[in-house]
Amino acid sequence: MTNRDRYKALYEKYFRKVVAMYVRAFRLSEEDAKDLAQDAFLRFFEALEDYRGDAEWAFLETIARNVAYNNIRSRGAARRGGGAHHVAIEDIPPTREPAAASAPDYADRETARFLKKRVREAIAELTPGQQQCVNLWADEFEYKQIASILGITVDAVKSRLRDAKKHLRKRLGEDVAGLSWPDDLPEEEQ
Amino acid sequence: MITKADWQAVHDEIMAEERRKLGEPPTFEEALAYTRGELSEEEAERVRALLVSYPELARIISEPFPEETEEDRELVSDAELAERWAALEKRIDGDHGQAGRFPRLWFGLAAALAIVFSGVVWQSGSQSHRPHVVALTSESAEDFQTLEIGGGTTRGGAGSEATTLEAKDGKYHLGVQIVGSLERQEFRLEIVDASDQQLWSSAVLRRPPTDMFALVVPCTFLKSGHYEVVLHGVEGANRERLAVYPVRVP
Repeated sequence: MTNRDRYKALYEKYFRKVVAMYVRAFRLSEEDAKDLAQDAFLRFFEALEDYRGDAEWAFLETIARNVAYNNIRSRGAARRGGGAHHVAIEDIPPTREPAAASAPDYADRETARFLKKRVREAIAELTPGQQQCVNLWADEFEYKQIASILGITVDAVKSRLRDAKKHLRKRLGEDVAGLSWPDDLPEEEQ
Repeated sequence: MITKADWQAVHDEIMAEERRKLGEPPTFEEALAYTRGELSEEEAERVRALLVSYPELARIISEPFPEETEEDRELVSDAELAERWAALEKRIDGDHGQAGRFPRLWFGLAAALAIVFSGVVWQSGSQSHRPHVVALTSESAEDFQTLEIGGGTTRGGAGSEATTLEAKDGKYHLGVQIVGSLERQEFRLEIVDASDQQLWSSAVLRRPPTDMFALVVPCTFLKSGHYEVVLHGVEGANRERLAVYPVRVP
């Protein structure tokens, strides 16, 4: 089997898998995922010349992550602009649609603003570690991922979320009822 | 009552502010070094905070690979797969002709990543195949080509502003003059291509006595085209782009 035949066989075997990863795990659009997967396979082809092992999938997966990471990072850099001076950072759009903050009248708008201010103040009082856990939880990461990103154990993640929930409940009272907390946090320490 | 939508709006505001405060996201190499525990405590804290602020990048580092499902086949039809293969072959044969011209950095990176993601032990690319910073002495200074700082934000596109690199013994020896405040002591160097894709980033570098970094780049690392060497100042958790040095590989 020639190198090209080998490569074609790997392409046919794994292309869909890479696209699926980009779409389902990294939340790219289908078109972006397919184009990026092409780039990943191009890199894979060029690196394959030097590869002598059997675990092609692990090799390809790491390349696929690298390509996706740099692509998304570059998109953010393009939005932020650049030059020889201090970079002006622009916001990267949130991963969700922003909440509809408008309210039918002035009183409702002021109430909403007041509530948001209370939430922000309460969050600011959390420890940095608790804030990081809460932020990642709000971005829909699972315990294991949060633990991996922060370099702590899953139990530590749960403890921090538990303590954050306790503090926010104390500060915000029944208003915290609208927040989605995990169901399996450890019991609060007395 | 605070609704979930209110909570998310607050969260999004907080994340946007954090990104403004912390600056650019970590490079892939930095994120990799972080996951492998290779960073100093201070650097790890910086990268950690950045990953939290750029969840889309954190997801790429942390998300496990999904299991294959039947729906995956619906993402790409057999006909489309064949079309895309044909297109890929054209790119391979048209742009890359000879195998092995692509920088070995990719092999080294992929191999290093495989250790993190799959536990498979690979032989990574050697240092000599990647850019690296060396100590500049009065004797070796003559061998280094001092780069010119580019103007504005143009990406070497003017051509005339870019320094044309001259190879010696299969390498480019580049002198990167440090600019900015004399009090700044820590820096990073980065090489990006014409589409602002990062190709390489250094670790944190201390200011050398000569106020010039000696960057050695293997010729095999850069294909013909325009690139930029970027000098960043580092101060704790903050990073500031100080200068851009456009270069051209003939």
